[in-house]
Formats: sequence, structure tokens, C-alpha cells
Amino acid sequence: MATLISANAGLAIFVHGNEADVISINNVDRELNYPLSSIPYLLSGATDVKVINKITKRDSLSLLQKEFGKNRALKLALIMLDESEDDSTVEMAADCLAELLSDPDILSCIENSLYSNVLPSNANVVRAKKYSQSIDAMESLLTKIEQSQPKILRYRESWNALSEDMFDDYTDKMLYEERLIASGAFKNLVEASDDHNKLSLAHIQCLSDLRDLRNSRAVITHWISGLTSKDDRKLKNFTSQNIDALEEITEHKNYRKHKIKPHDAFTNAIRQKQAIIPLLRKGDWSKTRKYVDDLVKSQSINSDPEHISKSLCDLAQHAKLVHNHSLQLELAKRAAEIAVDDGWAHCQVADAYICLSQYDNALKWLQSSEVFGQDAYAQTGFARILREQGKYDEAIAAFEKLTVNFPDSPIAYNSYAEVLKDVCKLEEALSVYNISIEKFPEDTTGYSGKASTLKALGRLDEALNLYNYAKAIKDDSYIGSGIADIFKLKGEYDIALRMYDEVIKKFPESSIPKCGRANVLRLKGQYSAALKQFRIIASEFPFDFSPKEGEAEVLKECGRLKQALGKYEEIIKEFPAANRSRNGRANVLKAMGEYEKALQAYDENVKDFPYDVVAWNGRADLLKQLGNFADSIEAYKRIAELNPLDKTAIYARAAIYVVLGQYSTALQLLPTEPPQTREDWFAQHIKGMIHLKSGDLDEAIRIFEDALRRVPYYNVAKYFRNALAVASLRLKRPQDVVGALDATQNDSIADVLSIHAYGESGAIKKAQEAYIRIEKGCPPFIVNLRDELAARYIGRIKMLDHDIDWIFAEECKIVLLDAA
Amino acid sequence: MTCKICNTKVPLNARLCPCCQADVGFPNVRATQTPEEQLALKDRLTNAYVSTDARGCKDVLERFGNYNLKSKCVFCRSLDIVSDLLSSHYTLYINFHKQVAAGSRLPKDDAWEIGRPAVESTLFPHYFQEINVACLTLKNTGLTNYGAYSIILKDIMISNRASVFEENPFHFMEKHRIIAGQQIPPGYRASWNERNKFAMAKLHSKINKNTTDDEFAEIVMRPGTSNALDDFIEVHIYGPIHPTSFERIVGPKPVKKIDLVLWKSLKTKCNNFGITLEEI
Repeated sequence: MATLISANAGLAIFVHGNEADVISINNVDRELNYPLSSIPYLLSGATDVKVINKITKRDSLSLLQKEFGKNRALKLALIMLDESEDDSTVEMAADCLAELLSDPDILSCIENSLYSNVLPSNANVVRAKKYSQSIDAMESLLTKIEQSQPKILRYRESWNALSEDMFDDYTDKMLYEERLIASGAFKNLVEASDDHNKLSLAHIQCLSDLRDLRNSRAVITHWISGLTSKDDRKLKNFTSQNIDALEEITEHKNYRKHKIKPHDAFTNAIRQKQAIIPLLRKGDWSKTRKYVDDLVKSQSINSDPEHISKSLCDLAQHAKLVHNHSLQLELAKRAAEIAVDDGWAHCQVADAYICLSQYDNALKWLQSSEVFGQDAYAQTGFARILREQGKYDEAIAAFEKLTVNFPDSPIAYNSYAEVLKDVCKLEEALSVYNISIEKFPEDTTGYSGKASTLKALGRLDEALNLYNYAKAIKDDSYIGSGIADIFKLKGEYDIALRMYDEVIKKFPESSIPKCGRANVLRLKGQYSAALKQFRIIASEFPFDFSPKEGEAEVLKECGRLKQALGKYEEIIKEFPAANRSRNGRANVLKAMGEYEKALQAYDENVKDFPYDVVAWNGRADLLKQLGNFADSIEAYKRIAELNPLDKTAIYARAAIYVVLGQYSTALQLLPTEPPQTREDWFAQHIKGMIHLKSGDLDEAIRIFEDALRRVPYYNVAKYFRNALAVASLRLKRPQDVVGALDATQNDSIADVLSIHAYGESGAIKKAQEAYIRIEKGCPPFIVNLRDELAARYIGRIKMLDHDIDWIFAEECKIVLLDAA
Repeated sequence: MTCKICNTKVPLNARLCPCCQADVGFPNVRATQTPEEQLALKDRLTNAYVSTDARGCKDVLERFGNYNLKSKCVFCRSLDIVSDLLSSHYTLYINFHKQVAAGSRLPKDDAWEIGRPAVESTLFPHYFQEINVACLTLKNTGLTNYGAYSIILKDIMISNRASVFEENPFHFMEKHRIIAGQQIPPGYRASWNERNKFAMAKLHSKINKNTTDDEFAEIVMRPGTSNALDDFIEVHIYGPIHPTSFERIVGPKPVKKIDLVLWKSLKTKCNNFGITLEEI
């Protein structure tokens, strides 16, 4: 850990990973945490920053206090000398100085500084001496300084006259000067300038003090030569010899390490790591750091640097799992510092920087990892950054190239397939996974990736077979959870629960199957059990916000909206970067009927996460629901600009055009090919609605019924069911609707259509039940239709003035706006 | 851009036309005036109007914009640094990178990437060392986490050379996934004179129909909590800042005698420079 200290800023800054703990001299008991990027802000204007490596916090604070005392004493001394200050200020400065000068280091610092430059023309030494009468050291110092002004002037002018060519640059000269002053060399030379012997000793001391600076002998000699007599110059050789002798004395002795057997060292390291991992999971960072220090210390004695690096890299990955990317960076960097030529450690640093979205730094470390032989990782990293930046075309090209350059790397193939999945090229992704599986039959990542793609395509049985095949090769929590998830998607909840239980038993350290299991309980409607589960998982994995989000979702689903909102707010407070929770909060506000607040929440999310298409979609969708169609169309256009591949936004825009009766504009946005992806099915829905609204009911019904037979996405089917219901109602066949809509739960649209269908069939009680379900929390775009139907069939409210064509148009509108 | 006098293409970082030496304006301000930037800012402002209209608070947004026409530029430092800045007529407040270059003992390598010049050189190509950083405020104080004493700058001394930016550029680059050398997305900066529009575009989501005028200051500049970042509009000022640019210095009157001396001395210096020293 490095520490930055500035007396001027009054701060000690402790740097670790991507963070900095900051303590102010004014309140040493309070430690504030800042991102590393705040350091330029904290230190702006401070010209006295010192960087110290490997120093304890306690020692840093003592040093800060000492430096602060020196800095302040010098300021007070200058105030005392300043002619423009009033007497009371000078008197007060003298009082404070008396106390500070009791510390010999501070006195020496002031002496060194005052001897390094001539007093300014407005210095009032007489008054300063008058107020220093009670401070012996100060009075005597002022007298000496006053007398030494001509000598100080000579040394100062000679120093200023030194050519900058002797130094690396202007900064280098400043560094020299500061060392000359701080070490007391400047003062000693000035003081000794009248005495030949003293000057020789001062010269030797000066050379010794500055010997670690480049070209120091030449610089000092050059500086002094203009000021000394011939006799003094004879001493040059003598001093050089003495300096060489001094350097010899300072050589360090090497101590032999007491090593233990390699196997014992290895098992020790594993034991120590196993003790650290639970601490990481609990978020006990200070203990983690302490144990990591112990690990490094013990491995330093018994193992080679690359073994220490391996342990640290491993721990960095665990830090990544708990989303503490700053600690991940800290550990990875430490690994790279210990084993400087360990390419894998460089890869880990790059990985941490990618997680922190600091791509410049990531690129730099990827380049260095390449130098140390990690070509494949580095190239994958470059492509990965393109993917993270949303530059999908470039990323696809880069990953494709990787499969050519590194044909033996499964990571290249699987990453290539992943990015194809990102852009919904699922069939192409499957082809790449097939090659990966063929080439690397023992690597389960390809199987898992392909299975998850099949899952997305609704080909659940194929996915299940593949997961099982992969499981036989090498089981892990992802594969196990994947299998359980398929049963969940099939609605076979009891089997899914059993499968999750098996995975949890086998891999208790993973939160994924545990959250998966809790979600199944939620889907089964066992809300209290699900809540309990999520809470247990949250306490077990405090730095994973998925279980907390799960809890909020359950609360929302079982209608405890206020609590759900509270939970989301709690998550956001703890994890400000949890954009999914921020959208979740906005959704809850929407569900509460707080549309203005919901829109404000989406606006806020869009500001903080400008590339979060979910937030942009949420905003556009709300504008749509509030009836601001023109603004909503613009908002969807913005999404298309952000992500041209986002078909959802395009089709949502098409749906609004259909509502507005602009069918040809809508059709221009829709695909002409048969539906393949989930989004394509929404486009198909819109096409059907165009037929329905245009009066071509037969074709509309054909499209809806065909979709209900073929659509592989169970949660898309309801939109076609609703559309078919509208068509049936238009054909005055409410009996066809009644049974069909009962299958859909928690759907305001189905409830509104049910009021119509039951009302038309004479089943008024059922119509009333449907009305009650949407009496509260009804989306604004449904309200008018709900009230019209309620008036017409239930007599709840005053009869409104709309006819059956208006009802049909409204039903088409709500079905369209709901789906896309 | 091209020079209005001799029609030569002017480099992004130039203060003067390289050919005829005509004044071509401050590069950070020029960067806000390109058609792309202007259009993108207009789009953001339109979004702000659409959202606030839908939320029933468009009038509040307009009031907020008017308040921001009177906003000030502020930066905060410790008593010691403020005192140093006023120590002579030759002292200038300079950019952090220049300060590092001028002798601060931070290492020249990028062991902690703390200087992150890559980030700033993306925003200010070839002139990042000229840019000083402050923030926008509607009250007389700034982000005091960075120092208890707020220095408010005179409008006239900065209005031609200042521009405003969305936030801390380091976070901006991370948020927008930008690598050094890549283009900054447009719409996230504006000239000093357009800061009202910029504040409306950026901060409309903080406004609702119950927002009162008293709350505007907190919306414009909000210090971060322990794990959240400070939220502010960053002001970029081209060139060093001389104490004659200071309008007022606002901070607490120290309690400790050792600090009180500096405070008293500061009072004298403020008088000499014609700066108001305000105690809070």
C-alpha cells in the first residue's frame, strides 16, 4: 500500500486497489473513502506531496503531523517577518511558534528554509525579533539569518545560475534544490563558507546527502566551484574517495531464509487461502488484508515469487466473485509486483481494470501480459474490451480472428459464440459452439454455452440433454443450475427444486443455485418461503445483490409494493451501481401507479447509466403508456441509435404507428422473414394486429393461432392470446375468450378483456371479479377502457358515451401497447 | 475550425491561429461550439422538457434554468493552500499536472494512474495541462470534502475561458466506456454562458413538481456519501488562476490558535487583493 502525505492539503491518503482512504489532520479519527480518481482533486494546489511505500497508517499519521508542524512553523515565521501583517497577528504567530520550535526537527526545518533564500524586501526583521524575545531559538536564528544575507545571496545566485542542462529537466533541478534545503546541506554550506575546514566537511556531507541523485557530484561541484577559493578546490578528490567509502558501508547483508519442505509450503498456502475466502465472502476487508499479508509473508520465506503470485491471483478472482473489484485490483497488482515477469498476474490486473471499466489501464496491462507470453489472453482481452464498449461488429471480427490465430484456445471459440449471442445471432452462435465442442470435447464451457443458447431459442429438451452430457464430463454449479433452470422454464417446479437442492449440496459456496431455488419457490407462489430463502442467501453473501433483488421482486409480486420499494432503495443505497435494482425500483413505482415518480426514476437511471437500454426502454414505455406517443417514438428512436441491434425498441415504435393508424410506416420497420428470435415474434404480433385493425380478421386470427401453436417462448404466448381474444370479441364470440384468458395470471390486459368477455356472456360475477383485480394499480392507458366496460357490464360507474367500435379500437390499442 | 481572419485550419489545442496569430478563442470553449455538440445538447434539453412535461414539472425546470444563469464557479482548498495562494502577487493556481511537473514529488511513472492524463488528454487533446478544475454552485460554498475553504471566482475573469462538463472526467470515461484517444460523446459539455441549459439537460431527473427553489442548490452540487460519488457539474477553466480572479473566500473561522493566525493573515491578504472573506 502506498501512502501520499501533504502537509499543505493536511491529508494522508492511503492507496489500495482502486480506492483511497483519506485522513485529514483536522480529524485524524475519521477516515473517508474516495475513488482513486479523486486524488488530483484532493491534492490540487498542494506542492508538497510525498509518496511513501510500505508504511503503517500509524506511522503515516505521525509523519503527517510532523510535516504539518514544519510547514505551519515556516508559515508562521514568514508571517512574523511580513511587514504588511499587523502587530497582533505577529504576536499571535510568535506565541504559536514558541510551542512548535520546542521540537528540534521543526526548528531545524525553519533554519534550513530561511538559509536557502534571501529575505524579501518587505521583511521586517526588527519587529520579528522584538516579538521573538521570549523564544530564544527564534531570536538567535533571526539574528544569524540577518547577518548571513550576503552569503545566502551568493549561494542562491550561484544555484540559480546552474544550467538546466545538468539536470534531467526543470523538475529535476527543483528536486535537487528541495533535497539541498531539507537535508540542511544548503544551510551548512552557507554557514561554513568563511571557514576553510568547515566548508570541506559541509561539502562532503552535501555529496553524501545527495549521492543517490543522478549526476550529483558534478552538480554540487559545479555549484560550489564558483564560490570557493583554490585551496577548497583541492579537497575535491578527497571528498570523492570518502563518498565511495561511505557507499561501501551502507551495503546490506543477506540473510538466509529458513525454508520448509515444498509440499508443506503448498498445503500451508492452501490452508491460508481457505481461511481468507470466507472473509472475502463476508466482506471483512481488514481481516482479509491482514491474512493476505500473513500469506505473503509466509510464502515469501517458503516459496518462489510465482507461487505467491498464483495465490494472490486466485484470491483476486474470489474478490471478483464478491464484486469488490478494487480489492481484486489490489491483490492482482500485488501479485504483479511480487512476480514482475508473471504474465498471468498481468492478465489478472487487466481483468480487474476491465471490471472497473478502466479500459486504458486494462489495455496497458494486456500489452504487458503479451510481452510475458500470455498472447491468447491478451488478444482475447482486447476483443473483450470491444465487446464491453458495445462495439459488437469489431468484437465479432476480433473474436473470429482469434479463432484463426489461436485454433487451440477454447476461450477464443466460446467468447466468439458469446458475442454472437449478444447480438441475437443465435444460430451462428450455435454453429461456433458446435466447432468448440468438436475441437475441445473435454471442455464443458462450450456445452454450457450451447445449452444456454438452445434454452434462449426455446429448445429446452435439446438443452437439457446437452447439460446432462456436460455434467457427465465435469460437473459444476453453472451446469447443475442450468439443468434445474430448464425444469423451471418447463413449469416442472418440483423437479427443478430437487435439482437445485442437489446442486446446492454439491456446491454450497455458490449463490447461483440458491437464488435459482428461491426463484422457483416464488414461481410456485410460495412467497413467504421464497422471501425466507432470499434473506438467508443475502446474509450468506452480503456483497451479492442478486438475492436482495430476488427478495424485492418477491415482495413486488405478492403485492407488498411499499416493502419492495424499500428493499430496492436499500440495495441502491448499498450498491449505487446496481442499475438492475434502479430499474426494479422504477418498475415498482410504476406498479404502484406512481407514474411521475417512475418516469423520474427512469430519467435518473438514464442519466447515471447512459447505455442501459432497459432504463431507456422503461422511459420510452412510460411515455407511451402516458399517451405521449410522439415523445415516445422519439425516445425509441434514441434507443435504436444507442443500440441498432435492439429490435425491441424498433418494434415498439412500429406498434405505436399501428395505434396511430400509420400502417405502412409500421410495416417498414417490421421484418419480412418468418419469426426466429423472441423479438421477431413481437413483430409477428404487430403484423397480426395490423390485419385485425384493418378488418382482415381471418388473416389476423390465422396469424395469432399459428403463433400460439409455434411460439417457443412461453411468456410471449400471452400476447397472442390477448390479441386473439380481441378478434373473438370483435366477432361477437365471447365464449371463445372466457376459458382462454383464465390461463393468464396477473395481467391487466387479460383482466380488462375478461370484463368484456364475461360481461358479454352474462357472467356478471366473473366480470366483477376481473374488475376488482384491476380496480387499483391499473396502467393509465387501460383506465378509460376499464371504466367503459365496467359501466357497460357491471354498472359500477356512470354510463359513458362510447360505442362498440371505440371499444374495439381501445382493445387493439392496449394489446399493442402492452406487447411491444 | 478555421481561422476567421486567414481561413487556415486551427488545431484543436491552439489559442492563436498558427498562421496569422489571430485570437481563435479558448480551445475548451471552442470544443463546445461544434454543430455536433450543440445539436446533442439541444437533444438532451428536449428530453428534459419532454420528461418534465410528462411529470408535470416543466415550469420548475424553467425556474431551475433561470437560477443557473446566476450560478458561480467554486473550488475548495485547505486553509494552508488558500493562504499560500494569496502569499504574493506572483502566485498562480495551476493545473494538477503542471503542479506535478513543477516539482511535486509524485513519481513520473503511473504506478497508481492517479494523474490519469490519458483521460484528460482525451477531453482536452494537447492542452490538458492548461485546464483548471472547479465546480458549479448556486450557493457560496463548494465541495468542502476537498478543503474547508471555498473560493468563488469572479464571473468576468472566467466567462470567456470556462466551459462546463457533465462530471468528474474519470468517472465519465468509465461510464461511457471510452478509451484514451476515442471521441467524447457529444452533448456533455457547454460553454459557461450556456451553463443554464446544461444544468437543465443534466439534472432534470432531480426535479419534480414539489421541488422548491431552495432545493436547487443541492441539486446542482451534492457531496457524495461514503460509497457514492460527489454529483456536480465540473467547470473547466483554461489557464492559471490569479488571486485577483477570486471574488470571495468562504470558510469557517478557525478555533485553534495556530489556525487563527493564518486566518488573520488571510484577512489582511484578502484586503490587499480586494477579496471578500466570509465566515460561516
